Amino acid sequence: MFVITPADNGDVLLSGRFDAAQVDRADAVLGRLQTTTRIDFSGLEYISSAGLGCLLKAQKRLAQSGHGLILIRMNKLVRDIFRMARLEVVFRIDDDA
Amino acid sequence: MQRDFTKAVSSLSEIFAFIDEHVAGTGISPAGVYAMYFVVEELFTNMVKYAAASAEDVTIAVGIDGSRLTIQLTDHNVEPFDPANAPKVDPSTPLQERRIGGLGIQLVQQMVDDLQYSYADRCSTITITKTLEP
Repeated sequence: MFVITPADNGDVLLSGRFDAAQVDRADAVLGRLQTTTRIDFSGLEYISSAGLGCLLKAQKRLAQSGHGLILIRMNKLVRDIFRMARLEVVFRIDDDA
Repeated sequence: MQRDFTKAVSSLSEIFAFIDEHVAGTGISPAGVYAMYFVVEELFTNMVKYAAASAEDVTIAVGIDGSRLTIQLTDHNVEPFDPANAPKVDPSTPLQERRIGGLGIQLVQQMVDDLQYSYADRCSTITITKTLEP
């Protein structure tokens, strides 16, 4: 079960498993972002390379207008994937948010 | 134990449930289970993407012997495709040139001890082994 929801405060909340079957749903939400946005990972248990690809695509698009994603509240296992993939240089990851 | 799965990304939830069945009661750490999901998803979705011409199911076998994990995926009636030969991603590449294709298989190679590809009788078989940490 994967859920991606825009929250009232402008953040985007992720929960469940972000796998290759969820790419279209995620693109539909991330593709609408126009400004710097926090992505709250606190409910996310798992992300695969397909999920990383969705976020990377949104980040690239936003970066063209000087904006970007701020990734917050990742669990340790998900955080480890970003570290292994060396995506820390691509995204702003705020471990203390 | 092995099972056949329809070659489509919509099979992933069923595949994760299959992995969950194997790990229940084994004491495999959450990090180990995460790696199993990641590795199987990556290898399976590669088969979905690159061997779509064959509609036959993909067979996934999982074996756990103590701390040694073996996972085998077999794609039937396909042309050869060795995922380990996919183009590599240079992590120092600037953002605008970064692409995710190729990154997944590199992560898989970091997560496992060994990845072997074989092709016989029009079947592609990928076998990974991994030592599970407690």
